[in-house]
Amino acid sequence: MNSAREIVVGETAPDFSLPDITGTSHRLSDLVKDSMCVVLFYRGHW
Amino acid sequence: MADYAQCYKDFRAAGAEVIAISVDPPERSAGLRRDLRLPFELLSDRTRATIIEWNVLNSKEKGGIAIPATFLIDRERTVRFAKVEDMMMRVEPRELLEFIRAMKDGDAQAPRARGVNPASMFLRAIANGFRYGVNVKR
Repeated sequence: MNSAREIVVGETAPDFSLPDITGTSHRLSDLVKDSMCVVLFYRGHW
Repeated sequence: MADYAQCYKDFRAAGAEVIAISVDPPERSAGLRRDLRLPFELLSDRTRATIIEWNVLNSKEKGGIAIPATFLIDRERTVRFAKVEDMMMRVEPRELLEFIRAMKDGDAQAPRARGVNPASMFLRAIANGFRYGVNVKR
């Protein structure tokens, strides 16, 4: 079902652009221009 | 994520931003961010496209939600740390912070996920149930 490959150390992270709570988009490739980025995934409450 | 909130200033000082992604709609994330007083952005992946591309989709629950996971991405957009969590393992923010600091010295050792005390996890689940309501599986 899920054909995506595991993300491993050393590879380039897939880019994303996702909205925050105000609707403003944040793109990973822009975020890392300023600093490293800790990307957390969480279950959420649906 | 509350523990990342506590360490947020330290992550910023160490040269790292923090963001968190879930399938929640922005209005739901807004409530969580307010309740837990999270200082970092919560991003909404409604289509699950990013969650699928990062291979952290739990397709068995509620039409698909994110598996808890921690990644560190450097300024070249290279993955420097990756840990997809299972039920009883999680990455301590303090350990990731030490990793980031040590990276600059060039002798970083990746933090190991630690076992979580099942009792404390159970208590936290109950507390969250009171706070956010329990989702009954369809």
